[in-house]
Amino acid sequence: MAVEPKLIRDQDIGAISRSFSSEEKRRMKERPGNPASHRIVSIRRAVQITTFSLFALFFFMTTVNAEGAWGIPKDLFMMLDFLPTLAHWIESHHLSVYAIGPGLFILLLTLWGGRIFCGWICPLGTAIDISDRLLYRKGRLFYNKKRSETRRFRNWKYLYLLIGLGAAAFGIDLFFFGDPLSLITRTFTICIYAPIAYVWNGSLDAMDKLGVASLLYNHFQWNIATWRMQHVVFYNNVPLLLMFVGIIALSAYQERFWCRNLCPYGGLLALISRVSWLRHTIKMDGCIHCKKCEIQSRMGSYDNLDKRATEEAKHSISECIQCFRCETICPPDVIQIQAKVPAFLKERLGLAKPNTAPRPEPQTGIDLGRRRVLASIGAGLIWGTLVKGSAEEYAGRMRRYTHNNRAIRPPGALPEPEFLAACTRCAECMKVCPTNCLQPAFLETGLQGIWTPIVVPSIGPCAEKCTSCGDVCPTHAIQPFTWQDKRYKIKIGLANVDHNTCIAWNGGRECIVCAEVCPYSAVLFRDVWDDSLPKDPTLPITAPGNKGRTKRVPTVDEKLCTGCGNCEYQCPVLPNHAIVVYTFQEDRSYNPPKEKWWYGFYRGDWAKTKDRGKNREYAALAQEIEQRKQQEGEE
Amino acid sequence: MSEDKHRVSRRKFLEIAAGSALLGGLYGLTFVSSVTYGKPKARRSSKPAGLDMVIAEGSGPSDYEKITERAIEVFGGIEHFVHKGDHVVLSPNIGWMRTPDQAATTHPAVIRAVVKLCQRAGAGKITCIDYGLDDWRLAFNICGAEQAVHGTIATLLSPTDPSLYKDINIPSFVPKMTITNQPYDSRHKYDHIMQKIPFELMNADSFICMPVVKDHEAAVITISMKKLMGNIWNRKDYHRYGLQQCIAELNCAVKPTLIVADATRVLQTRGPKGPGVVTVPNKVVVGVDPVAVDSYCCQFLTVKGITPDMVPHLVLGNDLGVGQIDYTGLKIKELAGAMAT
Repeated sequence: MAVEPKLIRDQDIGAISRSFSSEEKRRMKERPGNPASHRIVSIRRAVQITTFSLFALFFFMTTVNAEGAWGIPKDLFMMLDFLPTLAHWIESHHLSVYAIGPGLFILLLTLWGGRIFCGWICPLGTAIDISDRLLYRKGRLFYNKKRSETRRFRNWKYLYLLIGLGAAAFGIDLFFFGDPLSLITRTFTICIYAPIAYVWNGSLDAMDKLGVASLLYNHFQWNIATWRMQHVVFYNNVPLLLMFVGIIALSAYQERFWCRNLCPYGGLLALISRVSWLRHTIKMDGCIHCKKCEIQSRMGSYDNLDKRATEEAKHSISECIQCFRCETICPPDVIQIQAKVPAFLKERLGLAKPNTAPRPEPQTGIDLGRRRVLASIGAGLIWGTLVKGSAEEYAGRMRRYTHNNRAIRPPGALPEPEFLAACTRCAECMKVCPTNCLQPAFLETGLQGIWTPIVVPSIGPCAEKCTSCGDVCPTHAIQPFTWQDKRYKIKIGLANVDHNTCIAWNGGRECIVCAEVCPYSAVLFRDVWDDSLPKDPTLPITAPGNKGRTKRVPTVDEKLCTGCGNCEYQCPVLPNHAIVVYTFQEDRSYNPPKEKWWYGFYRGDWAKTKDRGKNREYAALAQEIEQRKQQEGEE
Repeated sequence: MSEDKHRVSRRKFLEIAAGSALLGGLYGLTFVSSVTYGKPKARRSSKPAGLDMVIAEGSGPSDYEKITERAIEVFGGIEHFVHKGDHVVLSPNIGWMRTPDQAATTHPAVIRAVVKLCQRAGAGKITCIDYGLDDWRLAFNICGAEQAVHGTIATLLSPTDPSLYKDINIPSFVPKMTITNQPYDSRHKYDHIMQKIPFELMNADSFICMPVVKDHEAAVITISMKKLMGNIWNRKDYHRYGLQQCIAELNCAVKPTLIVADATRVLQTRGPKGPGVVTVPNKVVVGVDPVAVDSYCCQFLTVKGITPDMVPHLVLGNDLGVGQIDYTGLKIKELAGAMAT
């Protein structure tokens, strides 16, 4: 690690160092730069819009019924993100072969062309670009006038990466907070999908109230009630929205502030892109030192283009996202972007003599400083030890004393420590859940369990034959499961009747709703004698012979109950239901992958995942109907 | 000049005033429409042939369609209840994931017979509504309702969203019967139970109730009176405030045009979902008086030996004037054998 260089301050050199002739000004006002690069920028924009639309399309297509489109899996974009896969590998000693392929492809792409993923593919980056164009277009020239500021926060992303890797060594995931694909998917589910559904349904309601609905119904036979989207609500939407809005707002200070300074996946790709082949060359003899590239660079990756700068002009490839803007704006067209073997690699390979002269593509190194690197890794390790050694985590492995016993995990979830390590908080499971029962937790499952999915039966029950959350989970934190597993093997909790509030237990009223709705026939009724109830209800209880009668009360069979929460959802006692599901006797150990000490590859569930996303619910239904037809035929 | 620029002309002022009055009026209209209660528009029931009830008996599942048609024909014919171009709402029990032989749902053959009759009488639109507790996508298929309406103009609907409902006004009475013998000083609870029935049922011209006769662990029996619970939104309040009283009151507000009770198979125990003991009387009961039909059908519940006196909502329905519990004086025609088919 080199010594941290002293930054040259703006007041030392002046913001813009020279004045331009009228001829130069006219040329700069025209469309400058390389005409070929304009074409590349158009292609880049098209690719960005296409990938963003595909992302949105896949997001909205990720429902209970839909399969992936054109043979592409629905969670393709989540798989392009290598960081959760890497972190999960380190944390839980499993490497899912299913998820690693697209991520490795992105790494190879980065080896060749630098952070193309960030500039061309990443949906979060595209969202930032779009908002930037809409909101901050006019102020762009003022971003980077203070050139010392372009470098100020640059190293934070590496430090975040190091802290996260340090914590991952202890099996604690910290990347979920800033991982770009998880973040944008989470935001889409909780802050975009839910409001869209709300506004759409609300406008249908307004049409109903204004009488448009009955007009449409009478004249066109359109029943707009059938056009409704699923009504969804989510906890914790405000903090998640604030996080996204904050990312957009930070772009007012520096363009793509998040990608420059904070994104951990960007940091990982930046490290790899140091040896990439797609290089920027500045022909310094033709440079007019207008500093346009330095000021307008999307990521602030140019340094010292000033004539009076004491250091040599540099472009740092690790900060560059290959957006090709610099090539289009350079007035004398001295910036060239071309694929070639990097000079240092040539020297190492013996293709070129060691060159002491200034290289055509001088680089700014990633300079963190030894102390900061060690401190970051240390901080990650300390955080990991603290969380691992806390009562929460210990209880999570053993008896889960501090885990809120109402925080029910979805079926198929791994055992708690492994689940927390594997879950990227992408909220795909919450998107597909047909009953809206999966909600982001806040602190119910401890500090580490923020935004992990929990089942909230009072919002919706875990539907009997639904396997969607297991189908979509990109990291298999929720293992793929079948509805038979759900019925016979998995137990997410146990229903519990409160005898004081149940209207059948206390008051002897006729209510058998919990038994009616139980799909597993786990709520049974028995008749018990109650002295406090009158035999003849029209007479007072003090009348002779009128004391006591039988009442029919619900009891739960713990062997049959799976904790699905249908009974709690339908219980007429409000607002605190009389039959409530707790995590007692929860059983997640039906078939977790075996832990291997030395970073074992595991095959994922390749055999199972071949039909990921196909609707097993309806496949099972078809099977049942077929069986019934056969039985009828035999009769 | 600058003063003129900010001055509002009379014409402009009037335009703005008229525009805001229009908008405010529209907003007010939405408010008014949201608080008014509707009343179901279904046709009033009648007894065209002078008979109070018709019972047809068949010999097996192959007869169910024929005996249903025959019973309605003897009762006076479907054309008295369904006119040309009517919107007909059928209310069969199709909300459970149970096969037809488990007797928790109306038999598909009975549904098909009534749908075909309505179609023949020139119904413009037929909707089968049941808001069940099970997942309707599976339940409609497993209980055979989808197959029953296949190829007809009838559609199935499970209104699982409150916006598919309209508010109705239900008269509330002082409960005649107490359960816990508490003094009813908390009578305000029984006033103003907001209840909603589906949009489709509210606008229906004809409402045919098609319950299956079965045991019910909470309400003792579930036939045509209890069947209306499958067409309302707010069922949780009903359980809290006393099921029997609420069923009787609901029957005062919503009255079917025709009742076709399916007693072809009868679930005797562990109702309403089962599985339990099933007997096969092979009968279909057609009538218009919900209390009389229900009290007649009590004789099919042989295993528990239920009589009409044991069913509180029948007694309450009799007292509130929904119908008459004593069916001995009524004109009842029983068809069997060749007469029924």
